[in-house]
Amino acid sequence: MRSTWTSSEVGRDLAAVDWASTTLGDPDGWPVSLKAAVRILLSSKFAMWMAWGPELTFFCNDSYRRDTLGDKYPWALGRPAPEVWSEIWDDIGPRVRTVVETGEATWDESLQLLLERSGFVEETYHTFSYSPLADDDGRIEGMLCVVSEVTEETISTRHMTTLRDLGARTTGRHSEAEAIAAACEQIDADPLSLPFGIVYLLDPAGRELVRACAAGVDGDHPMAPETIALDDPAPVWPAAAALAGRQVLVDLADLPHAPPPGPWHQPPAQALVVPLVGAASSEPYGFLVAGLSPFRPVDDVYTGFVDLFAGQLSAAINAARTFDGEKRRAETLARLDQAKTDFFTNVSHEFRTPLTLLLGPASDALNDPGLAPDDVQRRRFDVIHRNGQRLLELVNSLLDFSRLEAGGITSQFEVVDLERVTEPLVMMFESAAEQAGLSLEFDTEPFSSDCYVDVEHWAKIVLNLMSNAFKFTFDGGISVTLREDDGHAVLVVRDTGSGIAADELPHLFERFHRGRNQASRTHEGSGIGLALVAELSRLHGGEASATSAEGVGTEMTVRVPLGRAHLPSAEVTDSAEPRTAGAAAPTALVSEARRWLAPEADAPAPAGPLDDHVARVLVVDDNLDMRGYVADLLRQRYAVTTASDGIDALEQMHQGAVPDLVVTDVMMPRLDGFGLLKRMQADSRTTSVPVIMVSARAGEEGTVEGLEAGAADYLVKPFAARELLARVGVNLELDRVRRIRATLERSEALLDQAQHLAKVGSWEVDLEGRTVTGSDELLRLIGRSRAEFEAMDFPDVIAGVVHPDDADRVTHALASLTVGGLASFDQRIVRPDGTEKLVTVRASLQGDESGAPRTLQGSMQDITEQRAAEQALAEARAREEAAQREHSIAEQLQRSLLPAETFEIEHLDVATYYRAGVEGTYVGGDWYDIIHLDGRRTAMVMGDVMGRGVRAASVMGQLRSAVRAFATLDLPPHEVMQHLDVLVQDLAGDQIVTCVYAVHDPAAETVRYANAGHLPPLVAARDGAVRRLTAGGPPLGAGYGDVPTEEVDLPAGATIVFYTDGLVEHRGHDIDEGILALERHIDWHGGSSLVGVPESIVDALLPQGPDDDVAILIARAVATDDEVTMSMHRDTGRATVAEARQFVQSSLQQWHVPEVVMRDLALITSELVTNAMVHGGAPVDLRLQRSGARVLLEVLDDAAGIMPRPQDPDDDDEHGRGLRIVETLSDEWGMRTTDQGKCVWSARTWASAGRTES
Amino acid sequence: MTELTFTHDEVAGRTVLAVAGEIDTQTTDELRGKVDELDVSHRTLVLDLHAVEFVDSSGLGALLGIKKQQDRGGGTLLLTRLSDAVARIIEITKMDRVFEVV
Repeated sequence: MRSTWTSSEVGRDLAAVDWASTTLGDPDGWPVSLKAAVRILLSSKFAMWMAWGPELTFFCNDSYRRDTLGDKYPWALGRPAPEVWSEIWDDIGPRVRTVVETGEATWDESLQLLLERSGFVEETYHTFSYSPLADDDGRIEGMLCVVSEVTEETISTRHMTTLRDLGARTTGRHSEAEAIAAACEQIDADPLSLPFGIVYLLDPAGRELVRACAAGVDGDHPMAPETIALDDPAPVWPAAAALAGRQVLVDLADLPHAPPPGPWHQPPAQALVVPLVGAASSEPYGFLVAGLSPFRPVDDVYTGFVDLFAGQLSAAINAARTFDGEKRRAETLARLDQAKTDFFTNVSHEFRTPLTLLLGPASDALNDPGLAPDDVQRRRFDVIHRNGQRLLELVNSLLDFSRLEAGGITSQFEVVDLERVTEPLVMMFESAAEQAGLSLEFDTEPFSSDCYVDVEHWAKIVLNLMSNAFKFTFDGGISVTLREDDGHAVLVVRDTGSGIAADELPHLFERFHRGRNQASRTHEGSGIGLALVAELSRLHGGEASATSAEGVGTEMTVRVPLGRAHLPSAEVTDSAEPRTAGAAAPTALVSEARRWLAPEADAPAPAGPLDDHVARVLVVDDNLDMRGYVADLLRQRYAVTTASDGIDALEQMHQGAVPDLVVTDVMMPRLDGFGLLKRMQADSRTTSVPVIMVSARAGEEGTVEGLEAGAADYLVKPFAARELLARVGVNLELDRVRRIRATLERSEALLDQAQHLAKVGSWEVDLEGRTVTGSDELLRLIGRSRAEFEAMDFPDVIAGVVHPDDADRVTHALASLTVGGLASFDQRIVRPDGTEKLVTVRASLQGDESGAPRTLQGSMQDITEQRAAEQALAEARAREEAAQREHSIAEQLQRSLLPAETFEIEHLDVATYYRAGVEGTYVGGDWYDIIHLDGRRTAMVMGDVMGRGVRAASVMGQLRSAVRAFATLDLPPHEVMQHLDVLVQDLAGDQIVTCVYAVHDPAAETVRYANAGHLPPLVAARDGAVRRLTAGGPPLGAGYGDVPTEEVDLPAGATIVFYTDGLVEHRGHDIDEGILALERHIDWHGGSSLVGVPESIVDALLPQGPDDDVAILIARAVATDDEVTMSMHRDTGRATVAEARQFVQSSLQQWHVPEVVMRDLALITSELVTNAMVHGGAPVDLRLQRSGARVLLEVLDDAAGIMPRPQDPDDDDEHGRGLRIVETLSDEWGMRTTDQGKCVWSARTWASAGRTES
Repeated sequence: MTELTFTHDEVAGRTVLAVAGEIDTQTTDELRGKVDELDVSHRTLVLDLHAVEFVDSSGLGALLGIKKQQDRGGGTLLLTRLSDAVARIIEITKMDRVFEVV
């Protein structure tokens, strides 16, 4: 018997059962029927189990063991069935008993059984049948169960049903709330799959998550809080992870609260948190918390179902949100449109009342016979009336338009003799056209059927088209045709005007559209006319269209269907005869057209003050009334001319009429105000003429723009007459003062001379009688009365008048005169009051007939003031010249001494500073220089020639040139010093010169330098440690000797500072203190810019300003060999960290960075980017720089608050090793705060070929 | 987009899971998920890491997490055939005393 069992595994195990101890006893003694049943059981591939005997001893086959028994095998074999299936015996026991007792088979389909077969209780479904088994006597001794497990089918059907129902309930136009409610009901409907479910959505402000619904869990359950704050440090659900797009499986046992019980006798143990992702962005806007059945394994099938559920929910929410958004937009647009129409209507109405009140009295005044035809008030009223009319017309069009918009306009269509109605409208423009030299033609043909129009509307259509054509036509003419075409009345207005650009045509009939850059008679216009034409045409069931060619002309066409079929019958008036009379046509359009014509229409200038002293003002405006108004205002005080636009104004000025001031409008056709200003400034004749701009553009912006363009002043419409006058007056006055000053300066010298010339006195000495006489001027000059003067004898008079010191010289000069000879000398005279005067004396000696000396006569001119002035002038001139000379020398030297070009050095950030200590002319002895050398190296020079002035400067200049020459030869620094030493001995003799010469090599990251007695340069490492470079020899000229070149490291980020004594030497202070202060006062942090650093150092060290020359040169090694950056956004679902590594690796590969460094930097990148993403926020920026054999990696995020630090995790801590790794692998690393957040950096160097030299 | 690839095999009563790819913060969930799926915390799990091109501290944390999970479940975690990347980070972080490498 047992041999037959061994064919299967179960058979072998059955054989191993200790049967003797069971109620069945040894298998050899089993009844044949049992043996047969067991054989059938074992040989079947269908899952079966059977029970036999009083204890219902358990048997099963391989299939049953595999599908159902699980861990209970082989223990179950030979055991009583109630014991084997104790957990479900309540369910199946009665069935088994029924079968055994009644002998009737049972059939159960998809029976839910909670089996424990894989170490946990599991929800399973089985379809099975129990059949009775009879023993050899036919007595029922047992039962056979044929089982088929249908767990997967059953559960997947349930899942599908739930998903299908959710889909069905959320498809279509549902609101967001409805979609969520449906989802919750679906969760409630399938508690076996989803014991509970909670939906959280971000509030619109993005500050917290709000519970949108909860199913299977009470509203006040601690696991379903109404809101979850985003900054909650310990939220119930992992909100941050979910919003970052990650699914999280939450162990409910870890939560402090008992989970909701669910439908089972055991509460759910886990929940899956699934993000809800928007359609347009990958940023989640919420999440679903789905409780998971404790009786199902959390496998792909289960999480996949929850995923699909969440997906369907978010799709529904997205659809609802999109729909909501569109609906809102449409509503907003409709509201806006309505508001706009209401606004127009209201505003137009509001305008009409005051306009009527304005026009009425103006009209009354004009009609008042008491007002003389030439009264100036009449002209004013006329302007008011005309412009009021124009405004009213504009308001009416606007009102028509808004009525059309609101559907409030009513039309009265009637049969009209269109030809007879149209012709007068066209011909209203006849006189204007004639005046403008344009031809005007009207051509028409009779119509075959009746034409229904609203005469008022039609008049508006015709007049607007005519006005428009007239506005843009300067040559040629306008032709109008009215014909029948294909059942339509077609009105065509064709002009030979400036035409319309092709890209403007489609917008021509849009409201408020105004053509750009078109030559037109005026810039006036509301942009309503053509839109109104189009709207009115549509009202007639027709349309308006236009074709145009720029420079050729425009053709406007209005087509209106004939007959009345297309018109609403309520608006059609029946009449027997076609109407022939037009409506009371709005004439404003016509009178306006007339006003556009030529400037000769300007009112004649009333007699004003027109002599030469009156300032001439040119008024430029395209609006005749405005032009007239401004001109009239100014005419009271100035000579006013007018121009109709910028071109007209320029032409007038070119014809020689250059005004003293121009008042111009901004918006004008052909050439606007700004264009005029620009052209005037470009012309020497007009460049100094002040321009006042007048514009309707209010606001600071326009003013600033005008003033920046060079306008003298800017006036905004509307303005008061007083303001205009004041501004014109002030600007003219300013200009006049400027001119007068210039004229005065020119004539001053002449005046002076004339005054001096007037102070000449004359005198005469009769040598025979020894008497003296003098002119009044002479007497005034010497301060004596005639009597006093004439009482003096010659030569005593010399002693009485001439200064004692000059007396001998004068006596001698006069005595040495020969007859007919002339003498001229300067002398001092002393007046009785003791005052002295310097005079020039001219003397001549006249002889008598015999040729003997007879009279001495001459002049005396006071040159005291003149001489004093001359002297002062000469001194001033000498001073000025000297200063000028020194200054130009200084300038020259300065230019030659300090580097001319701006510093664009690849590997150094450089900032320099030089300031002469003494204000003014002296050039100090300090200099610095920067010289490009081969191999991307840079030489830096700082020197100081003791002493100041041109001589010191010239020595400097020669030294500078010498250093440049030696640098070009690429001599090592100490040799440069030796050569300079010799040069200084030759050049400067006893002059002492200090100098430091340093060469920066970016590849080696070093500076090699030699120092001849100069102050020690400072080197600051990236970490701020400052070092003085004290090596060096004696000053130049003193025998530099054999002091060798020194080398110091200058890695990227390190800074070197050169300076002169003026910075650190301070009266009463030790020079060392100064250097210490300098060390302290520099911002050494490698990241910041050097711009402004030297200035701030000077401010800090020399708060009173320098008393000596100060020169500073700061250079910082920068990593600019190679630099790449990458910007990352925290974007869910994308392998950003891997991308960052990839980016770093490929960049380093291109830079030929060694493999090992590349590998380590990839790891560092991974750590830093991960940290930035976890602790910081998006975006994360990554910067990679190489300089020589050094790579600097910087990771910048926008989380400022948290400064990470390396931790010391225990061996079983899963986190906290990142920065330790960074620390281990970096040569240097650190972090700093940035404007946006923080930057964590890591630097790595390696041995390179460049470093082995020297 | 990086993804890990897995091959798993039963060898001499042990589950051997070979992992290939880069293990970082964005792939650790995948690795943990795969191990959970195998459900072998009560048994010996061998991670074959020869095809792991990159691993950072997050990845290392995941390995440690798996080890703790195995320990709790009564199983064991063994690492085998470490790639250079894995060996280096274990060395840097001195985790060689924590992981059992065969």
